[in-house]
Amino acid sequence: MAVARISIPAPYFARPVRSLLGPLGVSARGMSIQQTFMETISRNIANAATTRGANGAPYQRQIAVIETDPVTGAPVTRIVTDTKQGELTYNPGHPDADESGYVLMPNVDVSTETVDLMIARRLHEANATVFEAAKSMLRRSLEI
Amino acid sequence: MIRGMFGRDSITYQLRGGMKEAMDTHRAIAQRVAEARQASTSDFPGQLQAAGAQLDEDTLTQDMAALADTQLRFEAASRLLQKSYNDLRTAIRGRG
Repeated sequence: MAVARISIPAPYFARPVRSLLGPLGVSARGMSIQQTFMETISRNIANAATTRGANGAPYQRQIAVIETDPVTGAPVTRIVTDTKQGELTYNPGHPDADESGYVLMPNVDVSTETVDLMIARRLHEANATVFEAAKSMLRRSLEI
Repeated sequence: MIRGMFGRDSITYQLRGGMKEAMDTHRAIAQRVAEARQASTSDFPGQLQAAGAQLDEDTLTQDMAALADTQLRFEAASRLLQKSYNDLRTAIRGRG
């Protein structure tokens, strides 16, 4: 299983500002995580019909998972390759068809990806709303 | 006299405490929303996890409602604090 690690560092602020801008940093990190999810999903959808990748094999679906870094405690996004085999489709005219006329398709199900995309978008929106709320609270406290 | 204006029993101190509490609540909500996990729906374990994620969805809705509540409380406390400071300013200057 091929694994690539993308580390999203926790934002650092000078001490007096950190307590005020803390929620902003947390929400920004949450949005970055959902961005990674959306990038992975869009890569899967874009390659839903790629029957021959760089290694000559059909494209394999990638899944983004969130983990907590044991050292820093910050959330880390990990990209995992789904090794499940794709469907065999009968298409004798296809250049990648075997001698029986079957083509091994990528293991990407577009409807599954769309549902995952909807969840990612919803979580991104939730983080954006929290970010906006923190911003308006900060603005209000500056008006006192 | 100064203690009466800014001490622990003063309204400004209590309002500041309320604002700090709202800030802390907001930070906790932001942390929970940022760490909300997305279950993959690719396979059966993934689908099971997604079914379990329905609970997370409920928690998310509750968190968003709590966020709105916290925001309103913060807004109210900050407006009252602003008014208290304005009153104090008026009292110190001796004019409106």
